[in-house]
Formats: sequence, C-alpha cells, structure tokens
Amino acid sequence: MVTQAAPHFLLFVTAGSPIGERAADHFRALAKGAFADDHELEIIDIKRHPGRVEEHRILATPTLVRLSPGPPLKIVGDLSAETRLRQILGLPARGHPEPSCLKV
Amino acid sequence: MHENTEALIKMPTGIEGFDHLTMGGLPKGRTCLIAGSSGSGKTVLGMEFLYRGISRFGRKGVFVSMEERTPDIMRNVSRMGWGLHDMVARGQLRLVDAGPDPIPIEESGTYDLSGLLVRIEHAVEQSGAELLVLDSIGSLFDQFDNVAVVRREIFRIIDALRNMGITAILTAERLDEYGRISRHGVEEFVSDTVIILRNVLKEEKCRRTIQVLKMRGDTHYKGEYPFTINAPTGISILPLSARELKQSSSTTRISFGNQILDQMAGGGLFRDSIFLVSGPTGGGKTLLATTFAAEGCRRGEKVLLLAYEESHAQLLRNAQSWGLDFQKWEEDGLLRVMCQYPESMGLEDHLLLIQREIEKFRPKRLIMDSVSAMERMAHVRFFREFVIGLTSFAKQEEVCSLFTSTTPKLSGGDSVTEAHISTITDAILLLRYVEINGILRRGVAVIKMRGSQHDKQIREFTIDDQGLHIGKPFTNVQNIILGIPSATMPSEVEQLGAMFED
Repeated sequence: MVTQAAPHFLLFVTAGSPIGERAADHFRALAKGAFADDHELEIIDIKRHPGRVEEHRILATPTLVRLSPGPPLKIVGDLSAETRLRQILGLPARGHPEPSCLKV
Repeated sequence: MHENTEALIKMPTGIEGFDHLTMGGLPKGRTCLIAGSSGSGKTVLGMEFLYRGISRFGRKGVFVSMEERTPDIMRNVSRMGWGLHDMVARGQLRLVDAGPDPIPIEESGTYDLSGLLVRIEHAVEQSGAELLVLDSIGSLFDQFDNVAVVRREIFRIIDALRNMGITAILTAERLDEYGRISRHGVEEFVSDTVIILRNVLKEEKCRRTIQVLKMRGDTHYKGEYPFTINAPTGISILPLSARELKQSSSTTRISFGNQILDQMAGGGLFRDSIFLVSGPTGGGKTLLATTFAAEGCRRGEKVLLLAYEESHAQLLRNAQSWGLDFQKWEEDGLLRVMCQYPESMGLEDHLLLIQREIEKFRPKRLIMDSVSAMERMAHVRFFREFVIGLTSFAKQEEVCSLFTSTTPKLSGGDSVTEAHISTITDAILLLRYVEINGILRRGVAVIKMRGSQHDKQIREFTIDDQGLHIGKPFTNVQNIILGIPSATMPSEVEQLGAMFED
C-alpha cells in the first residue's frame, strides 16, 4: 500500500506500441520535475493483464490513472500536451517547452 | 475476395418472428447493426438475442454495456423474468461494464480504444462466447472527443469480432424515426446487416415496428413489421404478410350447421378456410356465427369465439334463446368465449393474444364477431395487416374461421373491412335486407367459394326461436346484392337462372 500522500499512478498501455512508449516517456519527464523520486508509476500491459483493465474500466489506451494524490482521475492519450497535462493534474506550469529528445 | 465468395450461413436467433423476417436469422460470424430511437427496444432485443441463444441453442454470450452500468441493465431486464442472473452465475452470460465511468476522464494527446478491445476479447475467450451484444456503439462518440479515433476504432472492433467468428449485434441510436439511419453514421461501418426498430405514435397508439434495411448477399422480408414486447415472451414480431400465404389446401369439408347453407357452399366449408359473413346490423350475422359454433361443439370440436361487440352474458343469453347451451359447452371445455373491447389494446396485441389463445386452446373453429369492430381501431393499413396476420395464422393452424363484418348501410354495400379482406378470405356469404312490396325480408347468398362450386342463387332466410332457416331462392326480384331490389319479369329470372346453373 502506498500512503495517501505519495503520488501513485497506473499507466495502461499496449506493450510495444509507439503511443504507449510515448505516453510513458512524457509522464516520466513530467514526474521527474514534479514529484522527483517520490512517486510510483506502474506500467500495465493491457494484453497481459486484462483483469486489471476490467477492474479499472479502461477503454482507451494509453490511459493514465491517478490513484493519489487527490481524487481518482483518468487521463487518456499519449500525454503529449504537457501544459494541458499539468493543468489536469493541478501542477504548476513550467516556463520552457517540452523536451525535444522525447519526440518520436 | 475470399469474403465475397464465402456463402453466408444464417444463425437462428429463436426470437419470435425474427428468423422468419430475416429468412433464417442473423448471418453467422458477422456483425449486425440495430438502430433505433430511445425506447425502441434495442437493449431488450439485444438481451433476448443472448437469452434465446443461451437457453435454446446452448450458446454463450457477452453483453457489453456502454450506456448503462450493468447492474442497472440487469435490473431493467429482470422484469422479463428470464433468469439472467443465473445465467451469469453459471458462466453462460458474461457482462462487460463499459458504462459511464464514475471517475472523471480527461484527454491529452492521441489514443486508441485497445482497452475496450482487450476487454471484449478477454470476455469472449474466458466465456467461450459465440454471441456478443454491444449496446450501444454510438455512445463511444459521447465518451470520447476524437471522432476520427472513434470511427477508426469501431472499424477495428468489428474486424476483431469477425476474426473471432462472433455473431454480434451492435446497437446505435437514432434521433428521428424516419431520418438518417443512425447518429454519427455508424451504419457505414457495419456493412452486413442493418435493422431498424421504430416506436411511432400513430392515431393515438404507439406502434413498434422492425425493418430489415439490408442484409448483405441475401434475401429478407422488406418493409416494417409490427412487434410487441411482453414479459416473459420478450419480443414477438408479427409475421403478417411475411407468412407464406398458402391457399386453402384441405379438401375435407366441415358442416356449417345448416344443411342448406352447406349445399349452397358446395358441400360445406373447407377445414382450413376463412369464411366472411357480411351483413348489416341485425341481419343475422351473430346467429350465423352462433350456429357455426354450435355445430362444432356438437361434433366435439373445440371452438374459440372472440366477441368484440357483445358481453359474455349477452352471447350466452342469445344462444340460449335459440336453444343452444353455450354454458355447458364451456364447462365441457369445448367452447371458449373471449369478450374484449377492441379499444382495450392495440391491434398487434390483439393479434398476439389471439395467436397465443389458438396455440393454447387448439380450436378447430374460430369465430370473430366482428372483424369490422377492429376496423375503427387503427389506420386502414394496420387493419389490413392485422387481418392478413390473423388469417394466415388461422390457416397455418388449420382452424376453420368465420369472420363477421358489419356493413355500414342496412341495404348492404361495401365496407372498408370487406374491401380489405375479401381477397384474403376463401368464401364470402352475404346477408342482405330485401324490401319486397313494403315488407323487409332477409336474403343470403354465397358470392365466393374458393376451390369449389357454389350456389349462385339468393335465398330467403328467416330467424325464429329455433335459429335460422334457409328458404327458397328469390325469384321475382333483382339487384338484391346492390341493395336496391326491384321486381323483374319471371321469364328473365328463369333465363338468368339457367345461365348460372352449374
């Protein structure tokens, strides 16, 4: 169990799919600045874990599920729109654009 | 190329009337789109498809609910009394809850719907299902903003279902009963079969219809067919003209209950024929019907009497006045009298009720007094459908049927009823008032007897406390049928008589 305070995220992806990898990269880049090492990200391959897909009622992939902090939330997409993503997660806006190295 | 040459096998659904309408059921391993407005019966049809598949054919099914949460769906459908919860418990029916998510969903960047596809595939694999219902595919457009993605993913889902060999129903909403096929143009994706359900308010009556819009590479019945939804029978599509219109084929004759009438009809009625008795009010129709019923009971044949104009007590009293003990026959289980106000329900429901009663009671004779009482119930076209539905069912069950029809004028003339059902009936008997020298007399004539010769003369008939008596032919008047009898020279009558002598 993760304590209420520690940010805990699930990312449902299709293993090996470019858009899933892109979503993971985008989230990691964001989390590095926002949560440092104090967060948990589980990347779940939907094909290998259909039970968890069912449990979390996932329709779209990639889907990022925020278990904590704050109320549960789902974000669908490759998380490419960083400003929007920050806005949704309630994180402060950052001054510089997305790292170009993460573009696929 | 391979797809096109592959013959479609149809899979019976077990839904009443559906397999007839589609000439065998749904194409096996294909996806069918059911489009309908809100409340048109899409979910019930989808659920019944699974229920019949499981209970009648031993198949397994998956229900993917996208509009409502599965507990809500199960509660709504539980009124049908199909025991779906038990089917779920036994693993025959599997539910996938893809209804509105309680957790807020945001979109950021591009995505696909592999999650849904994985859930569908997983449910199919786990349950070994052959059948699947996705209710409704259109709600994906409400759940996700990116229309291009949703369209592409619907294609992918249909493709995946086909690869798995699943016979599937997808539902889609429509906004207008006679507008475009579905919201978002979902029908473009499902190229195999498109079915439309309607719930139209017409002449103050709700009328449900089903129409097979297209069925790839195969024939089906076209046009709208009325259906009803009742528990626990579910959907019943009234086949109406979809039934094979087979003509009277039996050569066995049964007695009318009056020797002279039998002679007039060339020796009695054919066992599976439909007989129309037309006449003005008070012209003796109910007496004829009663005579016909009594003859059946006397011979130990079951008789179903449907009365729409008189109460049960009135009918019994009338019969009593002609020395017929209907009450005893009812107690003996030979006679069943059903009295109903035509307005008590829609024509489809009347038809369904009659069909059920025939199936249950298995009568040899059926009397409907009067069929014209139904005429004022609905649009002429629906009335005609009703009569066709009833007659074809009676024929199929080999029930000799007598319908009475009230003509609007005392002197006779056409009624809407006759215009619409005379071509469907096998025999027609006219009752007319004849005024001769200031005295009102009754005339009777057989004007049609399919597959047999009949008496072409117009005979006088009288009614007393013994019932009806057929007398001699009128010899000195003409134009009785047209309602304007006039005297004629005897020589001419003889000439005419000779012309029509068989």
